[in-house]
Amino acid sequence: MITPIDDERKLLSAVRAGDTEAAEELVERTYSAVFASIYRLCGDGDLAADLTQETYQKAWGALAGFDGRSQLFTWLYRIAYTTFLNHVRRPRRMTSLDEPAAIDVRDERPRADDVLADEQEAERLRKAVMKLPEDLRFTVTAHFWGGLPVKEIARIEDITTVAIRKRLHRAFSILEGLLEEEVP
Amino acid sequence: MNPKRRAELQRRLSINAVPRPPAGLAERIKADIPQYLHAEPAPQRFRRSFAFNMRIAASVLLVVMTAIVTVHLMSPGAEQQIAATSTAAPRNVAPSAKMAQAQQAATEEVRVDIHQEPAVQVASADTADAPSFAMTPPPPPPARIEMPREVARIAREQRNEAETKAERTADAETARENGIAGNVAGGVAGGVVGGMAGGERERDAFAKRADARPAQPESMPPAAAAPAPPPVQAMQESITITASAPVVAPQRTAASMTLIPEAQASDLSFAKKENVFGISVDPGVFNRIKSSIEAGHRPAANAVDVEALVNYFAGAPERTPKRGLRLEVEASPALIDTDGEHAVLRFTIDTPTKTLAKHASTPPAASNVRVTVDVNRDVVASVQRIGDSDLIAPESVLHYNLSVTGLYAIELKKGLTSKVRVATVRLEYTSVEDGKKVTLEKIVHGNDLAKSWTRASRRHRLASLGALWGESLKGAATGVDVARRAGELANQDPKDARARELANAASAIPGER
Repeated sequence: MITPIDDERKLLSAVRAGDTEAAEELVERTYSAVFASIYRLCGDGDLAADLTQETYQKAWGALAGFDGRSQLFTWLYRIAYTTFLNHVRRPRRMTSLDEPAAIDVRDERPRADDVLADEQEAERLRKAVMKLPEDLRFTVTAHFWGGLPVKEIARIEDITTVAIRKRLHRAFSILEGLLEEEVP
Repeated sequence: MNPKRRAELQRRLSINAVPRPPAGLAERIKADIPQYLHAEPAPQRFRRSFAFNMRIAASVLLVVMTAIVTVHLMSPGAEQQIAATSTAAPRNVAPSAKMAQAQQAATEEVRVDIHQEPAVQVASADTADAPSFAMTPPPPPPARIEMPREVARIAREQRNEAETKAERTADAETARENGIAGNVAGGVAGGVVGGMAGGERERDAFAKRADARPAQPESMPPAAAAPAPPPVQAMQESITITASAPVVAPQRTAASMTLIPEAQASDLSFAKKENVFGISVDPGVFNRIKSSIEAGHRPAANAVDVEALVNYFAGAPERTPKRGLRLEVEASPALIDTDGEHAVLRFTIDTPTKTLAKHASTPPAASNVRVTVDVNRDVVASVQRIGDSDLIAPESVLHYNLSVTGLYAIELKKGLTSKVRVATVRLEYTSVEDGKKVTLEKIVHGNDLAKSWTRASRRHRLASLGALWGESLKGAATGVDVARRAGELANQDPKDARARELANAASAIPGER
């Protein structure tokens, strides 16, 4: 996911010089991770694909402003996260979760019920994370869903690593409360 | 916080499973690279910026000149100015003898003797002596017109006489507009020199005369940029036009003007299609059925186009793709035959949106578009597209602002497992923007059918409800509570007009509740 820094710098220099092949190489190296990060944020494959595309469109435009202080993926993740937030702030439509009437799908490992239960569990967790305050939400998602080390998050947030750890601690406390609220 | 619980929460956050990116995503992203990277050579960049700047300059010039002309036409003292202009014009615009000699030496002189033909006069009998200018040719750009003092005096007298006769009518207003259009066009065609220096007073005079001019016949096109016409008595006089620019044809006949509309590309069809891939997308289908219901009778079975209803209720996406086509594939258990062996498969193709000017044609977004739906016969007993035909025809072109949905009824064999492939939908096209061939592919697995219909996307649910409603109107499906389910969808999102429409329409037919 995160490429060696020297290699990354060479790639970036080539992209800035207008090398299309280098840009394609950059996409190949990073797009899966960007997609995965956004998917964890939104929980919808099609939407994640669209937002991933939008992330790169923004990234090409902002490439000149990338100062190289953080790693490329960290910078991309920040753009992806902002793109996602812009999307969720638009008016949305709701979907119903009642009346389950699923087709009986047999599976050896794991069972469909388990898959469904896992999916529902993941969805609950995702919704709880989305309810966190903005600074905590970014820290949690960047660390756990974006795979960014604490040091990198501290760098782009321009705070210390201790502050990031405190944020994570606070986020866990809030998440625990939110998840307990939902359990009947 | 308990360390054990904290560890459990961390574990849950970390194990959030992620599917693989959809096929074609990398290609979609890469397709954006040339546009956003600006990786074009410097000469091309220079040419592009130069052309852009020239367009801006031309637009500014046009706006300024239009404003000047309008201000002059609207000013109350224009009448007096015209009279003054007529007498002063020969003195002001005529080149001095030295200048004329110098110009003659520097440029090749083109001498055109214009004799006014009776056919040029379009005025009606009672104002036949009023100056006519509609059919006179546009002036060569940097032209200077010499008008003898005697001619100018006669012109002024005749004009004054015409002005006292003619009233300001709506026709005169039309003529004034034509005068503005003609003069602006003339100004631009003639360039800055011809338009600003040589043309300003002339334009004032033309616009004034346009007020007094009788109405043009309807078939007459707007007046072209016209030089100051001589009065009738002066028609036998010769007017010397000295020009360094190419001389325009002295007369434009009505016949040649009629060629202009015929030259438009009427053979190219950019109209919105009512049939895409052989799937009916007729947007008027719902209103026709609704009208029939409102008139108190059930629509005839053969008037119900189920495919078009599916497309009407599937509607446009919440978010359209920025570039390229988007393929949406979704499957869910069926609403009827809920025995666990029937499912509905939907594919929807959305093209990007483009804001168009009024009456503008919709440009193409993709060419050579082909859709294939391949089902796994090991797990699928039968498959049938909901509608009239199972065939999906290729499309040579798909335009912007388009969404097309195909819905399939699938009968599954027993023993479906979660990882087995049920169907594959593939979309192939050539991007109009960069000529690249793109293939998008989406696979439906068994576990995609494990979720209930109510967990399907709103678009999927509305499309399948639309299909069921259509089938029930045809008498092919019964016992489906379309109205209630559509009502639930409408209540969830009051802004969704289509769900409310479906709920109302379905509940309006007795026996369909």
